[in-house]
Amino acid sequence: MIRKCVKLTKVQLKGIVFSGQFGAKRGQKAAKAATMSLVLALVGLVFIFYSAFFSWAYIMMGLSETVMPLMMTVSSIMILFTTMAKASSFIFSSRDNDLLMSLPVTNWAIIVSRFASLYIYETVITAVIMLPALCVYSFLCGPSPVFVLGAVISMFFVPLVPLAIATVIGIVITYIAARFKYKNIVVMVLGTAAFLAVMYFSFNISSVDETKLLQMNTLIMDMVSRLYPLAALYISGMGGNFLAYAGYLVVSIAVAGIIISLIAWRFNRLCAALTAHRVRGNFKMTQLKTGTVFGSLLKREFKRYFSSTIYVLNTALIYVLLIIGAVALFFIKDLDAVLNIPEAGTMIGALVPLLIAFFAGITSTTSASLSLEGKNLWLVASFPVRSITVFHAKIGLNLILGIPCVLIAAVLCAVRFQLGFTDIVFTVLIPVLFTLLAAVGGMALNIHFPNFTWTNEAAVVKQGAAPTITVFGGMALVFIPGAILFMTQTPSLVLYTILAVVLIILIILFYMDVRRTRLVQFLD
Amino acid sequence: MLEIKNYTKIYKGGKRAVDHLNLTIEDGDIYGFIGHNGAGKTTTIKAVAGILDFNEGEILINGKSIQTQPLECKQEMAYIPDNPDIYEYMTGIKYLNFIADIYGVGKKEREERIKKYGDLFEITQNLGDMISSYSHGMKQKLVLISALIHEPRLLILDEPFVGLDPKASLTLKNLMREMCREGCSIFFSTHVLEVAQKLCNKIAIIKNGKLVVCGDMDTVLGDSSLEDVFMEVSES
Repeated sequence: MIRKCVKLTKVQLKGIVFSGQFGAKRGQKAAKAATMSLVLALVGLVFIFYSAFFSWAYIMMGLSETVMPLMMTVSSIMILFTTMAKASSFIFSSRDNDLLMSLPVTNWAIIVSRFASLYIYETVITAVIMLPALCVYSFLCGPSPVFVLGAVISMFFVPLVPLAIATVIGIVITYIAARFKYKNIVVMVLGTAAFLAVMYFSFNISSVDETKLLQMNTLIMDMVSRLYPLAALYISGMGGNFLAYAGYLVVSIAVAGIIISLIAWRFNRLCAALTAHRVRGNFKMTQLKTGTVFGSLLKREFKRYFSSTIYVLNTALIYVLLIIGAVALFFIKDLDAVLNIPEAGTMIGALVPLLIAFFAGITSTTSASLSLEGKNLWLVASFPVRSITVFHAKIGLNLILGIPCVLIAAVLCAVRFQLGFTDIVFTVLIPVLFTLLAAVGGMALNIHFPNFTWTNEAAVVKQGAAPTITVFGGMALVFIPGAILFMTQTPSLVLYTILAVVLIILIILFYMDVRRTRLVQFLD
Repeated sequence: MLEIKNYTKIYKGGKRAVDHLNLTIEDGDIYGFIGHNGAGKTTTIKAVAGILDFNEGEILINGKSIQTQPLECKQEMAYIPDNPDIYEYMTGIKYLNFIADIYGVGKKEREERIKKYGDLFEITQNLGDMISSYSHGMKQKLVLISALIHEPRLLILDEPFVGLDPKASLTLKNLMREMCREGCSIFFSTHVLEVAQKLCNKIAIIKNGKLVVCGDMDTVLGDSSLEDVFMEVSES
């Protein structure tokens, strides 16, 4: 069984790690792979820098004991958040289910291979977060070799529990939703609720005993244990308690093992329950509504978008968080006290355009929309419609979802911080330009990094090259001016004007690229 | 209606899939296109449908080039692929209505045609269900209806009978004959030689990317069956 598992895992991994996105021409393939490697290296460097920087800062503040537990908790919660939407879909809704289940392989082998491929992917992320912290800690604090070895070994166990929990949450949500007519809408509502509930639970630390505020080490340890209960065992284990360390490893394996066993035991039933269709077979012809070509293509984009839970949770959820954040800012009168940061209100007021732009810049529905055509691409290419009209519809969806959210957030912030005319203009303009850039740039990137051979939507929505570059590119475009604003004396008016010009140029360049593209070229 | 002149397709990597193919399809023709697997049938059909670029030659639909006037050409024809991969996130009726919008079919016409073809293929009662719940054959029927909804002058079909039940196959054959009587043209590939022999008035056989036989069915067959001719050509 192990050999079959390994073979299946290899196939699964090929499907989730940027497969089929670099084209077939030799030169083109090499160039695209090089670009992607460069982007991934930069993304990795950013993570490594953050991890190393925070570890260094914590050690300098005398909080060295908290470094590894904190990084372990950050990794675990990040895995939980990022896999909640995809785990269930990845394990149960792959297109190759029928094929695999007809082969002489056990359900165990299928589940273990799918879980293993997710696990390998998340272990790399864990290593990128935890290894730099461990290096800094080892260099500055000189821990014993046993501690270092223990920390390294633990990295392989960190993803297990969050992955298992994310899978269970995903199954429960999908199972409940399967009983409703509009099941994907129910999945989205429940998914958003679960995401917000986990976030609320994780970050609601207001009830921490105030007498502990003076003891930062204890406070952080308490917070970490509260964020992720399994961290208590980890903290104790890394502190030298061998039993606690062994307990952490055993609990991690046991939780994942039990959940995998339960899923494998009822895999066929779960697949049937989670992918159930409502069939009525009693349709009677009624009057039909006519529409324009563009209107119909746009409607189709909406249908496609809302048919995919993972697609919505990966994008619209960010807009929901933006609105929730803006409403919270609007109603919280004393920001300094709530955030416990002096001058927090003034700081946030000055950065409002960039704060909203951050949410707009990292949210692109277009970066996966072309790849999601998948096997249906022939259809849209055979229509008597220009390719750019199809791309306009895809960009239109992104703008219709994004622009109202961005405007609502801008208006709420403008009123809350009583901004002047010029500030209001930039608070609206900069986020709107970021939304446009995410839409048009995402489209252009998906054109350059398409993948039509996916077997699971997660491969293009979450692990695709285009969404990865769009998200981190958007982040960089927000962080760079933010850092300049903080570190230099550049007036915000000047900085925002320059940023607006840069964004407009980028949007035009990307749009020209999109305009040149013909859908037929992808069918060759 | 359809003229293929010196059509050549070389895939990335240098494989010459089709080599200088010439074919003319007149109004009212039912043109069968046969050949072994990998001979170049689908490659040719896709190029005619305007979803595959090609290296040399010209494909004209009603005198218009598929390369320079693709939208006008596509408006006049309908293409049905060998696999009905369509939008599973729509219901059957929403899909048909969407296709009608794309081809600019009027409200009354689309309602009449959906009702007519839906009843003919016995799928009307399922049009309210999601396409994801359809069987292969039901999807094939839906693709056929969507292809007929704008009354194309040229119908391009790649293995249209695969997955259809016997009654639907007969319905499709009758529809093809009726369309040709009205002056439309049909170009289709098939591996079912009996169907091709009975249905087509013209036939073309492609082998390793080259057209080896083409012309009127009666002339090509003489006293033989299509199966005999095909086997003879294949083994030569």
